[in-house]
Amino acid sequence: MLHRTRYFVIASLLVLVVGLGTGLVAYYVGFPGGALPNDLPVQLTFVPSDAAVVAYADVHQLMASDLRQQLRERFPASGQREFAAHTGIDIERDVDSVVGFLSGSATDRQVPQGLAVIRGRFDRQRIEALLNEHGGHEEPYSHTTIIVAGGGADVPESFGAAFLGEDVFGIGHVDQLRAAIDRKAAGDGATTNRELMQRIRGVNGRSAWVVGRFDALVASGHLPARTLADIPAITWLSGSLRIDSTLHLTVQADTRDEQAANDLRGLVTGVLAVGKLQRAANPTLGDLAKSIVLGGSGATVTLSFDASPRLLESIHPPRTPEAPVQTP
Amino acid sequence: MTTQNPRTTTRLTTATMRIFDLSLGQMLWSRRSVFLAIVVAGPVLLAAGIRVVVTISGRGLPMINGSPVTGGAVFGLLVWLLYIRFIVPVLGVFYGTSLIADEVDDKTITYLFTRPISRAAVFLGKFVAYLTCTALLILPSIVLVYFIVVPLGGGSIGAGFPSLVADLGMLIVGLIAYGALFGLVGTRLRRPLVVGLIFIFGWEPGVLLFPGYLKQATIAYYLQALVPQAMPADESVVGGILQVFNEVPSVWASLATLAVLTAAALILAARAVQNREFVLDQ
Repeated sequence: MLHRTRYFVIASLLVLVVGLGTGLVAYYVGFPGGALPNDLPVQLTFVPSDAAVVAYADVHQLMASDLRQQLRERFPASGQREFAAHTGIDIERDVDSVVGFLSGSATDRQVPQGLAVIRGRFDRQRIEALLNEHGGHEEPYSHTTIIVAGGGADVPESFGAAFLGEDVFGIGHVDQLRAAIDRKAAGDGATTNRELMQRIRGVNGRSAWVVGRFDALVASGHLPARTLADIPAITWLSGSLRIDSTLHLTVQADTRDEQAANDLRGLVTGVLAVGKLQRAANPTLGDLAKSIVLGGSGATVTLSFDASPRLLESIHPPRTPEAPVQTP
Repeated sequence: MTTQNPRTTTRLTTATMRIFDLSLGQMLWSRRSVFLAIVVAGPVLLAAGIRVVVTISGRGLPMINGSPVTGGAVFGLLVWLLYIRFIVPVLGVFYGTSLIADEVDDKTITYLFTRPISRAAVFLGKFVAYLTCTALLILPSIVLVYFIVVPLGGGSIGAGFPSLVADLGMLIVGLIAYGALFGLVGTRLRRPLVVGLIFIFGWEPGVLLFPGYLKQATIAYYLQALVPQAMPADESVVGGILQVFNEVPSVWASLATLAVLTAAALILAARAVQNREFVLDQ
């Protein structure tokens, strides 16, 4: 065999072996946090691998959507103004995307600790000055400055905020902020949880999504025991929405097994049938039930529906100014 | 009448490996391999282009029926349309039909046939060289395409790994089957290249579009059963075309059929080389 033939064979086999080896490692271990694929939100590196609920919103896309423009007048943005007053962040102008999560350790009706990790363009000095003005004090932690709330009337003491990166701002429980800083450094964020990432990949690319462990919801005690008894064994719940001139919503439930999925489908079919029967009495409910499509296969159940502005209007009618009282 | 001395006749496997060693270098550095390099570089460049466009645009992959297309689906589409339906058959035709024909055209077949080795070993050695040469070029190409495309749209390198392995296996099966068939064509027919091109670009796509049993007389029909990626179930033109190929046999039936076809083609081709009298143009 010629030298150049030998070199070619070695080079070709090297590409093959390195590629297959990397794939094999990724298959068994998953990618560490540092190797997060470009398409996934970078904020996932701050999310704990045992998070009970993870949610994402492409704020820029949601704000620019036709539907948002139509609904803007109907839903006044008072919360936005309040948030801007406290933090100096204009959600509409400064924020690109938000990832929020609730920690997975909350049980027995504890209030779960959460954190919102915002990506955007921030005026760092202005925001820090504003937070300090509201009674916050600076606390250095692992090369990061956390601004801890002073404990005013409307802000709890455990509340804090910090710049977690050049364009990443974290806001939420101080303990979660500290943990997020450690997590990013250690690279053991949500990306190491294969089950969670599998669900996130399933909804990633939508305008907004939420993925949650059903057992964490149950453990928090926020669902009535009677309701739980009627619901077949669900393991994961995820929801996603795409928004243009219409709202396209999809909810997916992963169940323990195929039998549980069939039971859940039966339950949902029954609920939808009742909704359709109500059409005469409540046309909005009837229209809503009619637009819902039940699907899924195996141990997965999906519900999807498109909500047009007309349907949303019928669910939440616009406020009409009260007619002046006619006085004789 | 002459009889072959068993002591001087090298065993078939050893002889096959010697011919393989000799032929691999010849095949790799031939003009035909320039064409092969261009063909296998095409999908890599296309995948890189898709990656660059998606990354620069920042809008991700397009949506089908409200669901975002994943990198895995794009990879499946590239494997199906470029590799299985084009590259593998074309390489099978170009290399398979020329295994013996090139030696005849170059008038060098005499040097091989006058060696104390079986003529069948000459064919089999060249067939193994073809398989190695094409596999060494195609398999790294598909691995590169996988790593470029699959992470798009939130796809997971790890989750899609089993399908990559299955794809590589299927491509090897395809190279073996097409190579053996066109190796037989090359040893039996006068214009093997024309016959091969008519088969892969006329017969196979044609009969696959029609219902009935004719599609069982193609290799693509059995190969498509080994495609691990689910075909996109949308109402687009591409989806509609791909749905045409949805009627497939089981994996084991396909593997068994391809194994029988390959073995029969190799045996018949080896016998043809063994018995045929090759007349060199003066």
